[in-house]
Amino acid sequence: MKVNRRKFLKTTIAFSAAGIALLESTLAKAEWLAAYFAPGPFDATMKQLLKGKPIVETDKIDLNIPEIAENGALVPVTVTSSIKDIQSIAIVVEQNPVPLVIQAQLMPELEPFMSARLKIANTSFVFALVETEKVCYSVKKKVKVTIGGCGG
Amino acid sequence: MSSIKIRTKRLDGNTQIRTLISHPMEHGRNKDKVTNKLIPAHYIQVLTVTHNGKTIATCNMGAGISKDPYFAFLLKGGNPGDAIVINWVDNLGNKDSEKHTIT
Repeated sequence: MKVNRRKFLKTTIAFSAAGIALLESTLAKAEWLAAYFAPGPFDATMKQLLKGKPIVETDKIDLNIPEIAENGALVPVTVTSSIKDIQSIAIVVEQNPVPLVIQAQLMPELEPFMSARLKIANTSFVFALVETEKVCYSVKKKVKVTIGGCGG
Repeated sequence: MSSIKIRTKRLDGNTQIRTLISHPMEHGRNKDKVTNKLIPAHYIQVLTVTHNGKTIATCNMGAGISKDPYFAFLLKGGNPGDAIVINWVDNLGNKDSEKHTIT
């Protein structure tokens, strides 16, 4: 079969278009919330995170974090909660250049539990936010950092 | 070799999923001690956990997570033989994925 230049071009263009479309759909699936992680003041980050929902301080969240962190580059944190039907758990460090550390969207298949390790630049309040459909529950704890947490 | 290690453990009818990823997690403000230049930012942005093909957790993160990040989640129920897949994507477009079977 004779494949002329026109036909060849057409098929290659069609294939590459399909490839780009496929790539875009996979990218969209794992879309990063870039605006949330912009370096900026703590208040602006909180505003974005809350999406207009009222913030309620509660004792139903257990934020387990050491009061004094010897190394700010590695602070273990565990958030557990007895709140039902949660949508996400977020951890925000007030004094960090980028206050939001992690925002995890947890499906109902998971218990409201999360554990991670953070970097904390300075002595600061650490907030755990648990988002439900109508309100955001929050709890805060002060963490003292004895040496700089800027190290990788 | 994969950069992701996954361990699961049965805890009171639930399954604890723990993962350790080897990644530099540079936030772009550290200086290289030898060349005195800034080390470019290199950090994981999105981590997803799937259970039998269904996404159960999507974590968006910044560079505020420590080097070689560790995460733990608690799955309601979970049976031996269930597949847990963890994927990550970083700001340079690198990605990795690892499959684990609950025992």
